[in-house]
Parts: sequence; C-alpha cells; structure tokens
Amino acid sequence: MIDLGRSVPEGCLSDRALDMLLAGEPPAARGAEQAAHLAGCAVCQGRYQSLRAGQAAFALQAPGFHKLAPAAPHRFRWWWTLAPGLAVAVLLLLFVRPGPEATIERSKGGDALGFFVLHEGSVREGASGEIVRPGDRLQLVTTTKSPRYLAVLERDATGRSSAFFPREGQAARREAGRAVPLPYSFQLDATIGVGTIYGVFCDRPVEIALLKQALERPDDQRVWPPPCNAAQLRYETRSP
Amino acid sequence: MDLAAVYAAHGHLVLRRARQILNDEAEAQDVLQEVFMSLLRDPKQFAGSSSITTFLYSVSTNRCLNRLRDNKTRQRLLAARPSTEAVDARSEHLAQLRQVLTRLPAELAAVVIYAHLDEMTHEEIADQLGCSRRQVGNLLERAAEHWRRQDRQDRQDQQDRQGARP
Repeated sequence: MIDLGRSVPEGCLSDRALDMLLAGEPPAARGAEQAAHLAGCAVCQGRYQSLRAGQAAFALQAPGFHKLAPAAPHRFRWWWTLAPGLAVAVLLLLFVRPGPEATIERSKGGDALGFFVLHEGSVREGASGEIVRPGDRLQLVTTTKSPRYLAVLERDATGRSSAFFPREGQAARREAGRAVPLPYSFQLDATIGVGTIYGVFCDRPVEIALLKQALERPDDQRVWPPPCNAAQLRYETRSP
Repeated sequence: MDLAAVYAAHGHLVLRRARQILNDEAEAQDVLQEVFMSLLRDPKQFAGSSSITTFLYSVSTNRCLNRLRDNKTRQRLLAARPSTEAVDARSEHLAQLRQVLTRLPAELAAVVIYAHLDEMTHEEIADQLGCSRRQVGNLLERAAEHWRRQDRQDRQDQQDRQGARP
C-alpha cells in the first residue's frame, strides 16, 4: 500500500478528533484526554484554529441552506471564486489574531457570543468594539457547555431593537459546542454608529417578544427573564 | 434536527474532506450539495446513534467513493501524472493513493481513507465504522493484499504487452 507517512507528529490528534472537539462532541472515553492534549500542544492548537477559521469562513460565505435546491446542482458555485482570498484571510486570521477565547464575550452563566466579519472578501475575527463598514457581513458564533435556548437581539445605533435569531417565536435550542456558527449571517445596513448585539441564553424556550420588551428598557433597568443570561458585543459602523 | 444549523456548523468538514479525497473543487462542491440535499430529503438517515461528525465523515466518504468509481473521475485520476516540477513526496503519494482507491472495493477503500488520508487511529476507525479494532486491522491487511495482487497483475500485463510487441 502507498505509505503517505504522517502529516502531523505521532501522538497528535486526528482531524476527526479536532472536528469533534470543535463541535463539542468529543467521545466520552477519550474526550478529556484529547482536550488536555489540545490544550498543551502547539501543533494541534494551530490545526484546531485552522479548522475553526474554516468553519467560520464556510458559515459566512457558503450560500444559505435554504438555497440548496434539488434541480440546480451547480447553482451556488459562484461564491467559491472567493476561495483564494479566503485562504489568505484564514492564514491572516491564524497568525495575526489572538486565540479563540480572547474575543468571546461571556454571559454571567458562562455562555459566550463571538463573531467573524466578512469585509470585501476577507474574513477576520471580531472583538467587542470592532469597527465595521456598511455592507460588511457578520457571522455570530456561540459557545455553550450544555444545550441552551438562544435568542440573538440587536439594538442599532438609532436605538431600534430587532430580533436577529430566531426572528420570531421562541428562543431556539442550541446544542453544546465551541464557537458554533448560527445558521445564517447578517449584512450591516447603512446605519452609522454603535450597535449592540445581545446573545440571550436561556434554560427554556422564552418568547422572543418578551426578550424584545426587556431589550427596549434602558440599560440600567434591563432585567432578562429569570432563566436567561445575556452576553453582549458592541460594534461600530463607520462610513466607508 | 435543525439541518440549517448542521449545514452552517459542519458543512466545512464535508467540503474539506471531499477536496482532499477527490482533489477537484467542482466535484467537492457537488459532494457537499449531495450530502445535504440527501439529508434534506431524508433527515431520518441520521438516526442519532452516532455523533453528527461521525455521520458526516461516513456519508461524505461514501459519496466521494461513488465519485471515484465514476468513469470520468477515474480516468482523470489515472491520467494524472506527477508534475515534472518538484512536488513534495506526500502530494505525489496522495495522487497515487487516489488511484489505488478507484480500484479497491468500497469497504476497503473507506478504511484506507480513514487510516491514510484522515490519519485516524485504529480505535477511531473502529468507532467510525462501528466495528472492533481487530476488524480494522483485518480490513487494512485485506486492502494491502488486494493492492499487492492488483500491482502484480498490472506489472504482468505490462510485461505481456511489451513481449507482444514486434
């Protein structure tokens, strides 16, 4: 048989193991051991960051799932023309940005909200206070240790509140995982100024309308419904 | 199962593996689409008895193997020759391995992909296939034996062709 040799050092984790850690689904028997290896191995950390960046880039640039249609096998190939720029962006992301925990905003319950920004074809990891431009696309990611019900709400620079995820109904169940992308990203409109995104993590499926009511109260008077904690991220939209 | 969320969170791994196995961007995109369209049509095929990552590794491998068996893909891979420019040994071996995969039975080709391309441990392959580690070892031995036989046969055929020339 053709011997490929190993592309990673002996004892390092396979891509499958890293994919499982990324998805928050490490095997019960070896999960703790693999997580410990990842924490202490620079090679695997680099590979893990690469997979994570690839996941975020895919979520940002892939066509929405609803666009997959049976009768159109090649309809969404256009966006792969961005691939070379994306590859550069991912490399930049790996080497010039801080680690995954540095920019994730945590709620009091320890659940976390983070985001990536797609700007003119390149992807970067965002931090609270990030400067963005109209037309940029944001991909939010969440990190939770156990399944939670999530709602993502936004208050833009004009003070207007809106529900981003889900758009109506109740907070949606999210499985546990690290930096798990939301099913869709959103594009910034022309509103200039500081906006705030709230990730509201609940123990049960709370009504979005109830959460919007809480959001519309002044910051110092805002109380989220009892089984919920919120993590927030600010972004500043500046003129191009 | 929220398929849109699965697609956003895991689509990247299907695409990455399809690129690695098939070495063709357009075919890799087709595999991505096939995997998720199939799930859209029949969500029950993911029974939840394994993790979603395990499931997607399995279905993406199977889809890629189907494509490797497709005559056009097979001809493309068999026609591929290492570049005359310097290429690293692994790239060259990868190209050779893809050719091997086109000629192995599906069951053996899958285990070769997990062992040689994904670099999984025998324990991981056993978990992936839902079998014992001993069975993984047996499958890999069978794959190697199958390939040795094939290789001998190819050499013999080549000698016969050369001998038959006037």
